[in-house]
Amino acid sequence: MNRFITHTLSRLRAMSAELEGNAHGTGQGMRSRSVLVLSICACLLAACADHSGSPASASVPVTADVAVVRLMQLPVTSDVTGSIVSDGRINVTTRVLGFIRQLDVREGQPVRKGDLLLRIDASDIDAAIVQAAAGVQVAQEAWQDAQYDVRQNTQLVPVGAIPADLLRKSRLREETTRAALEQARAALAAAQAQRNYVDITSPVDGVVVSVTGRSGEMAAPGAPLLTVESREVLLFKTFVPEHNLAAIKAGDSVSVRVDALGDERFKGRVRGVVPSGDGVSRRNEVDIVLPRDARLLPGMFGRLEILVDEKPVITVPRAALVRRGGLDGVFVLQEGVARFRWLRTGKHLGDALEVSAGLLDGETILARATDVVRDGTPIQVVGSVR
Amino acid sequence: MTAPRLNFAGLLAKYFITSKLTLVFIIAVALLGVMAVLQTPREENPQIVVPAAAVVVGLPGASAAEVESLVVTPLEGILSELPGVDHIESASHNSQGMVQVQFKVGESKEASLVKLYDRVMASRAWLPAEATMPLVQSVDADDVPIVTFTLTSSTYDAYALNRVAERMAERLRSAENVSVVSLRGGLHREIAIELDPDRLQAYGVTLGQARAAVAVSNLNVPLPPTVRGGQVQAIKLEAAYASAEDVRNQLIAVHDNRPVYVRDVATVTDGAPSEPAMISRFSFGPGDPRAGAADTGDLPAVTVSVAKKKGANAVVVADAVIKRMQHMQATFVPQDIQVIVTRNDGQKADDAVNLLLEHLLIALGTVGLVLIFFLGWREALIVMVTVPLIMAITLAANLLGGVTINRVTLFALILALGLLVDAGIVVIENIHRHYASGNPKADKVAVTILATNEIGNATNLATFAVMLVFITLAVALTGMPRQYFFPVAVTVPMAMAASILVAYVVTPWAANRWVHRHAIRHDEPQAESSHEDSPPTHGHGVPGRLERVYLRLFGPLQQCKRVRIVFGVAVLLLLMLSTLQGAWQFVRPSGVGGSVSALGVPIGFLPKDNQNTFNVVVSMPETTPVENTDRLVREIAAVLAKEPQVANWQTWIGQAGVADFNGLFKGTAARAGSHVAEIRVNLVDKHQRKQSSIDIVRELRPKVEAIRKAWPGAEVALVEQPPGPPLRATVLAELYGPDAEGLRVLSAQVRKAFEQTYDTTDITDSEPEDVLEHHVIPDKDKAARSGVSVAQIAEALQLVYGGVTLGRAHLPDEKLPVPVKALVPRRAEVDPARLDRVFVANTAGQPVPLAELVKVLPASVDRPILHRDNEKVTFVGAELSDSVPLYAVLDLQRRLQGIIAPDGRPLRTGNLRFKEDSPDTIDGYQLLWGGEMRMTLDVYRDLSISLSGALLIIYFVLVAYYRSFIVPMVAMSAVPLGIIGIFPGYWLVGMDFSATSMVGIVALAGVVIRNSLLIIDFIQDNIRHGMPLHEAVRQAGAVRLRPILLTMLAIIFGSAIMVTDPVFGGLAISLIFGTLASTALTVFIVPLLYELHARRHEASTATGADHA
Repeated sequence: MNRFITHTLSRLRAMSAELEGNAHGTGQGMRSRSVLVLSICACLLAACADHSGSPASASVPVTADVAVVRLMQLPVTSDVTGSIVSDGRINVTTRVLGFIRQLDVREGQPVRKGDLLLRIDASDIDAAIVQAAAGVQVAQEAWQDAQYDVRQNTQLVPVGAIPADLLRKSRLREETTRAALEQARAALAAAQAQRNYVDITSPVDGVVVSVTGRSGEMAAPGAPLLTVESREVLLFKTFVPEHNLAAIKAGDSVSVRVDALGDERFKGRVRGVVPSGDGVSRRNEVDIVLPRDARLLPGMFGRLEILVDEKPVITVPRAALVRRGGLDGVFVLQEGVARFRWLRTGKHLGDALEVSAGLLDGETILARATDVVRDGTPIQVVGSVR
Repeated sequence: MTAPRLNFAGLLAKYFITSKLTLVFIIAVALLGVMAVLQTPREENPQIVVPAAAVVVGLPGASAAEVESLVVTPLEGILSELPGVDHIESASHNSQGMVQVQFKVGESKEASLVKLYDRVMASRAWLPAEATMPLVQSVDADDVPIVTFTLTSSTYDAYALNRVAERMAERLRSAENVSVVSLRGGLHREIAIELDPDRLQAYGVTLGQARAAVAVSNLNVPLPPTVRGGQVQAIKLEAAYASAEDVRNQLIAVHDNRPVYVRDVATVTDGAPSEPAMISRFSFGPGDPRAGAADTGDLPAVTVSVAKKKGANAVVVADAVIKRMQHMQATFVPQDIQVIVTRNDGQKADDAVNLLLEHLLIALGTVGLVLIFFLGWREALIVMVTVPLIMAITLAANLLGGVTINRVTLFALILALGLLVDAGIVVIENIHRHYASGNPKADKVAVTILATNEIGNATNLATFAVMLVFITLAVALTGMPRQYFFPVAVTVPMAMAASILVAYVVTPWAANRWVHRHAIRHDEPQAESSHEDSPPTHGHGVPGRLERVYLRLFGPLQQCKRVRIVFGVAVLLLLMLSTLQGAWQFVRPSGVGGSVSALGVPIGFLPKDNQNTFNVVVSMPETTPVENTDRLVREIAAVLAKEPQVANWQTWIGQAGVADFNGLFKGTAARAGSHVAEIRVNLVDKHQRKQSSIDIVRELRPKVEAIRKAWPGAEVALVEQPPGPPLRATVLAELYGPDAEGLRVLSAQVRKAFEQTYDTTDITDSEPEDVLEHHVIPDKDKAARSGVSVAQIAEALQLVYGGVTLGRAHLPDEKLPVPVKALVPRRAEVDPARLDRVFVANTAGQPVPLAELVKVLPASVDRPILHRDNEKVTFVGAELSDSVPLYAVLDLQRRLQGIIAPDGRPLRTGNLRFKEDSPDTIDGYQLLWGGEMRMTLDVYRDLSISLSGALLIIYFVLVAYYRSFIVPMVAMSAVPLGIIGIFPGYWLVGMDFSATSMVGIVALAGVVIRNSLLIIDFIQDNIRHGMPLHEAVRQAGAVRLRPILLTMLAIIFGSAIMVTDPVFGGLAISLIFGTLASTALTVFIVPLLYELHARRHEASTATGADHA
């Protein structure tokens, strides 16, 4: 009996001891248990880490060019579009009426000053010349006859062979015939001058830009037959909104960007602002004289960049831009590791891109990212940092 | 034996003791239990029903102030008329107002919403004519996804993943009990017309012309049918775009006799948007074996989330969904798309429930062992068999009553375990005693009935007391804690009631069948131990060693007054010291702020739980572009990538992640915009990790903070799922005031104070950063002269900024609408201050530059105006990494109380009393403490009410039972004795005193009173049998010692398994240490007090007799 009680009591004590232990601290109790769990976990984790760590550590650093991002002052411009026009544009017409006998120039053909452009059929002019020449002949004959009469009568009148009145009349006839001769000569000259208008030559060095007449067509005076444009002066003609006019005055040097020539900028000079504006669209015509350049062609589309302000922007080379997971960005070098950075890109500035958010001044980016570069790829820098 | 009048217990025992029905009853109850375990929906935590809804009203073009006065304030007024509304919060933005109505916790969701709809629709007439139709959106916890899985791939992009996910989502909708299936994170196909303003200008086409030409050409028109050749034939105009090529080749204008096509002035793209505003990415962490291989980080991700229908079993739904998902993965999902389950609340609930069921069994086993030692295996076995029956009845009652199986229910069962074996123990012990000492010739059945009958009343009373205590819990608790603890308040009384029933029905029957009367005689030690338990009426046994020790200790106390006084003083001192452990922080000279003193026990609300997931909520200044937000997130992700315990994480940029219950109530779930982001981090399963999520987060905080510091104004919060109800912030200052500007100043002041407070992290405030706004003001005169209308200007501006959806492309095999969108891409971005590249066509068809028609003025965006309960408000909140909010709030309160507010008057603070204060700005600015502090106060208030209510009721019942006012007090002296053990207990375990500790104390009250009742009952019984008081007290103490210890050990071992749980550990510690201390002291103090009382009573009656 007693034995059992002792037994029970010792059990009880053991239990309460256990309880005390428990109570002591799920703090300590738990801690000691967690030590066990911890070590198991640690073993497992170590295994995991080895497993997962190997590819990361084994991943060879990728060599890459880097570039340092710099804040740049970018001019803020207001673009107005316009077209290049030629300042010397000559419409060629005929002065004489006649069929076009010869017209060999074509659109786009360069011509030099004095080159024959077209020839009008001259047969009626030639006939008129012959006729006029004949008239001169007639007048000449008549004048010589009148001269002879005057000479003869001059000798006869003092001798009283004829009345003085006859001499006076013969002198008068001599003068009229001389005038008639002059007239006939002038008529001949006029007829001969007509002949000059038959061959039409280029008045300037330039390019034939349009040909409307055709050989065999009747050319009438005033109707343009072809157009020759001078290459000597090219103008950029644009319409500038009122509020930008203040920034422009005659003689200013401005830059014009021509789309067709790969956004190349040409320095031009403002020749003048046409003072009368358009009351509806609130724009004034501005003419800008462009420099001589063989590539510039009239009719090209261009933009006048009016400098309004300057602003600091961050730019990245276009080659640095990569697309990862549908996002455009660059790889930023951080502690020897490439980190992808999503960028908000703005305007295209030639080879560079404006970045409106995502990069800071002084950060180092990969100048050219290849497909092997991923977020977290170690990078070995080649060359010096630009 | 004369048959006494049987009480309830006796009657039940008599009816069932030989009845066949008992067996039927047992089998039926067991089956019921099995059904209940299988059928009852399982949850991790009890569902907290907080009906809430948002009413959104648009007032196009109105400023925030206009919206506030014209829409929001009247609406708030109307909505506050609704009964059952707890709080109303509103935000007035430019052009839009939103009012959030939060109903009282526990209000019926459907009824509340119907009322709300009714009111809002009736109030339509009060709103300005141009206000849009009010849109009521209910904030529904049922729509929170229980399962999410993420599709991710290194070869497919977000758009392709989205297409696969769409197909998967379609097939999931048909699964049983699935409610909302939604996709998040993917990109949608669109045909984008990226207009180049310069090219448009060159071609002399305006934006408006381009837009109109595209918009009117995208048409399909069904026409009325015609009859030809006696047959009806249908006609249809088909001009809709069927491909991007169609759009590209659309003629938009003729310029100089030359046609201008869309392709001339725009780049047409088909596919995912090239400039996404929100994205999601997925990465494997070091905790996942897949990490480390190539292409396991930073992958595009699309998440499919699935919510369940209300009342459905999350476990079943989640299993079904995942099974389908795996089947689809095997059949049509491409091999190189990985599908990862990123949330599985079903699994989580199942794990939690299974773990607790396991714990329940362990607890049961431990209690069983205790019983075998004390009662012998046969009796122990009978008691142990009754326990599952009781639990079965309880669970079945829960199923019928709509209480789910969740952590709280199961903790309630574990808690109840220690209590409910008691009824069985008492009955079997008394039967045992009667068998041992009764007349061997007496009828066994009659003896059993008699034995049951004998203890019937006392047991009923004691059980009733415990039930009462827990029922008061249900009555007194309010708000979210009520919903959270409700299962305890229902389950424990239910289990107690069931325990009585089973004890009277099954125990006598089983005892009658299996406990042999003669067997006791043969079993020497058993017989002796039973003798010791015998009450003196049946002759005294020789006291056992335990009893001898007790008597040796009790003797001096009883005889020597000085020893008594020393003992009394010592007990009081201990009580004070223990209380001081909790109270020291408040009274110590170094102030309430700062770390907890060496011996102190912090008093908190609910401790955090070890979770498998946490969220990093990022909120940058409102001016932050999404790319910078992304950058901060990437930097944080780089830290996560080094954490060995991180299994994977998913980042959400420009949007919040898939909503969870916490996010829904914190208001972080609905955020969107370039400045917000979220990272959902999944950790390695908690069973396979040494570190708790609490520690992981605590270690991460400084690392994340170091990154955050580089981003002024950025707020990064590491949000752990709270174990209890979700809150806006742990420490939350609600600042009310008459003026928005003043509030802003005050908010900055308060924020600074927060920053200087010990242990605060993740400080947030609701004051947004000012965002620059360009006001485009048309010169109407000039515009009219140019023949341009303001509407045209608006149209052009819409195109330039953000773009306009012109229609929908009719593409074959596309399951989602593919919009055709015209926009100006970023590379051609137009500076809003300089609109000279944007043209509008005037009435004559000439292009007019917009710059000539408008003035652009810099301004700032309207700041949202926040209201709470009809007053202007702003919030400053903070989380605490390691300490409890009570101290931080009191510390802040001390520093902020009476500081000079922007209006020159002192700042008034409030809401630190037990009753919630309403905001009131008549006397200037006011600070009300909200967040966890408010809830802590509410809970402690409710639990105190519950405790005192319970004690009062028990007192009344005892007064009725003992017909004395003093004796119940003696009995209840056991309750404060429990305190002696409680605070040292917390200190030893290193836990915070929390709301569950308070629940534990309430439970403790029920338990320890029961012990003293039994002692007093025996003393009175002894006296009734003619024993002198002195001897009666001694004997009662000695005899009851063993059963009391048995009960105590049952409770301690039953609850011990709970200690490790961070949430309910508090309850267990209160119970274990309280019971321990109380029991150890009760066995001395209650008899002593009773004796003293009885002596005085005797003396007074004696002197009274003398006088008479």
